[in-house]
Amino acid sequence: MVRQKGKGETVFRIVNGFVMLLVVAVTLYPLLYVLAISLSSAEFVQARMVTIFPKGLNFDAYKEVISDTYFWSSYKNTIVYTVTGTVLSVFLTTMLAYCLSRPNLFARKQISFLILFTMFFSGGLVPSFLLVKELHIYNTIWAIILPTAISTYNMIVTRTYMQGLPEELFESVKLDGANDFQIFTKIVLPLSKPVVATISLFYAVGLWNGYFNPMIYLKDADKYPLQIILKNLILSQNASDLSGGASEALGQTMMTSEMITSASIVIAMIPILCVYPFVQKHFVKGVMLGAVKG
Amino acid sequence: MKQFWKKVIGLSMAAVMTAGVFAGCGNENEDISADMDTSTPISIDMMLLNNTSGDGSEFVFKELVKEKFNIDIKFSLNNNQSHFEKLNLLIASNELPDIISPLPAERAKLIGPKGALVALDEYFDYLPNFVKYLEEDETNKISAMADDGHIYSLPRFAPDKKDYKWTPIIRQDYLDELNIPTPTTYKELFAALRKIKAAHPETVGIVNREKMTFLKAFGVGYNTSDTMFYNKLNDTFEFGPMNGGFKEMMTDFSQAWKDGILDKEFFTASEQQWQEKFLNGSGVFTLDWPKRAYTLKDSYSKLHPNDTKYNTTLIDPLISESYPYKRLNYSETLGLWTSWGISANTKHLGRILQMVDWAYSDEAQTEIQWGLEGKHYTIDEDGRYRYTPEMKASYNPEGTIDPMNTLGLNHNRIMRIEKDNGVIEVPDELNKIIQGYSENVEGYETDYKIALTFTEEQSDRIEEIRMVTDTLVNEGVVAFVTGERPMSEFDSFVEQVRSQGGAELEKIYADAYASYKEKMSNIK
Repeated sequence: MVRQKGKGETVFRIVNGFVMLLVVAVTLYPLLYVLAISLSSAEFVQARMVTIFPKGLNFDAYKEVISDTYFWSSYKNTIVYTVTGTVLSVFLTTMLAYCLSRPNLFARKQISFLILFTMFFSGGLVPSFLLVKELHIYNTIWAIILPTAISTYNMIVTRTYMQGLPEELFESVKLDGANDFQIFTKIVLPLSKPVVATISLFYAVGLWNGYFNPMIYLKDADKYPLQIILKNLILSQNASDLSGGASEALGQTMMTSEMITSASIVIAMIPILCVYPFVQKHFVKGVMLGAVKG
Repeated sequence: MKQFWKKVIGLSMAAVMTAGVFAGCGNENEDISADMDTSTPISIDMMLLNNTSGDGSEFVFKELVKEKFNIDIKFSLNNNQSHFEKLNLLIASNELPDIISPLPAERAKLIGPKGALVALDEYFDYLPNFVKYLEEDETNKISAMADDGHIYSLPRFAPDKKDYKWTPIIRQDYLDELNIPTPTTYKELFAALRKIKAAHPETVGIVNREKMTFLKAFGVGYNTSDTMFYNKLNDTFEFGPMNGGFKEMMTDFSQAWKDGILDKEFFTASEQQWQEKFLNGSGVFTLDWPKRAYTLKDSYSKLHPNDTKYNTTLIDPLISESYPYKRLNYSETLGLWTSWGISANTKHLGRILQMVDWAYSDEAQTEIQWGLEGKHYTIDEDGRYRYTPEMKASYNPEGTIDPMNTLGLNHNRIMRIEKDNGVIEVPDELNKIIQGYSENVEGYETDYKIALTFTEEQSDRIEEIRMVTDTLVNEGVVAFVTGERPMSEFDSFVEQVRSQGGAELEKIYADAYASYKEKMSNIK
């Protein structure tokens, strides 16, 4: 009996290991492929001869991406937008979530309904644009941060987590004379680290990858985030590829758009790749805690 | 007595009204004239579709305008997608910048009459250079005119430019090896491809990177298109999928698919996949820019230096039973798509009109297109313009400055007059074939330069119908070509297309074309 269980477990482990290896391969392959393309020479990329190892190793695509006049300023902008936006968003979201998690809040259901309503119905692009213009935040960092400062979804996850904190804790702190702000900063926030880490990552990734809002709300190139600059780089390469001699005045493409795209992807994902391992454990925990209540 | 007072009041009112009308005109003109003093520096906003980011600070055009008109142009540069997303938003919120480039004439004709744009014909006195080009060809004016009779677009003119599109490129080495004469018709092409396939089973025949736009590209030879097009033979606008040429094309292509001489990725191939097929030697025929015949051969020889036979070359356009004349489509000479629009909200109309008219002058043409002699370009012995070595160009492998995206040169959204005077850097034999096209081949601009004007209602209806028919046609084409549906069902497919909007589209276009003809006869 015991031997049979051991056999089954062994088979399971082998199959499981195999499946996991497949999953790893499927996940890693695109990454390695993109890296290989970005480091290969144009002839091999054009002839589709590159797999997971670079052929004709060179860094031309990276040089092209980095040599863009606005590359470094856009990198700096993205970091500023992401850090400022994430801090502000987390602060506002947790404050709102805390208020809505308190059972004795006046008109709690009505307020929650109004907030939830925005998840399904929005004012639309034109009214939002006009609002941003009227608030005089058009073409400023605030146009990127404020309209998306509180995500209803993140707020719900946080609120659900906070509702799970023991009520006795709040009562005892109140007996000790703490006010709501002290309860929030000294008790609730420290106990909500997993969910804070989770929504921080959500906000940070959203702001880091954000393309549409900066495209709509920013006018000056020196305020553009990295994603817009990379997208333009890719499009400009595509335009050169496709023009194919429409005009003799056009430059000959020394590298393909695929190489530029790949180099851009690698550059754009480096910071997120660096941050992710540190918040991963909180991330998984936070999502689970938010999902399973009680 | 009563009569007398009636007369006095009537005359007074008429005088006041007449005075008012003239006063209105006087003020308008006066305002503009007053705004033409270039001694005061001003700043204007210009939204421009550009393939790279930046603020356009290095644009030669910006420098020239500052120097000549004391106008500081603040560019807002956007890529293709962002430009049109933002444009929709700015139109909807009435926040258009002073100049928008491009504002396709089709769009300007719809938003201009609503008061969003300046009606340029009211200021023709200030735009003599523009008017000269506009009136050079009678179709220009009608094509740019909105339904209310006003002109809201400043198109680009390229009267002597002929960039042929969709030229036939074939593997000449295969034809030579198998002693196959150069095909002149599609039937001969398919027969040649079958022979090549039999001798070289690894070949895939016709390759395509246009995806479903292949219907337009091959449609030139079959006298059809994937949507509405001008049928010169009948002098009508027709819905391509419902005409005889389309059936002939589908019949040929479905047979080609069966015979294995149509690439299996014909409908989906990306630019890279298309290129790969030629670089690994399996692609035999395609329609593309003429220069591609040269660049494909060049890239192949770099990858396979030992294979000296490989030869992709241009041939004359192929004909079909539906259109038995050789013809090629070429890019716009009247650049309606690359038009400028001037916002009705601008505070500097006079200064802008001055600058605009200069952009249409002969003096400005060279500077805006090529920059400054010696610094950006030199002139060859045969009078053709060549970029200086530091500029990126096919003949400047060491060039580092992108003339178009960085300096705004040869930028079809900036220059208003474009001349075909740049150097041609392709081998002589290809150049000879391209030159031959202008003698032996019927060249035409899309829809023979007939740009129809639709009312807002018609435009909305066209959009609605096309949402249905585009899907129907695309799905139908793939099904018929790949053999999923037999060609015997093609006539019923055409009936379906007709009933689901095809017939109505033809009716809308017929009305618009009648109105176009009427305007033309009035001009004549």
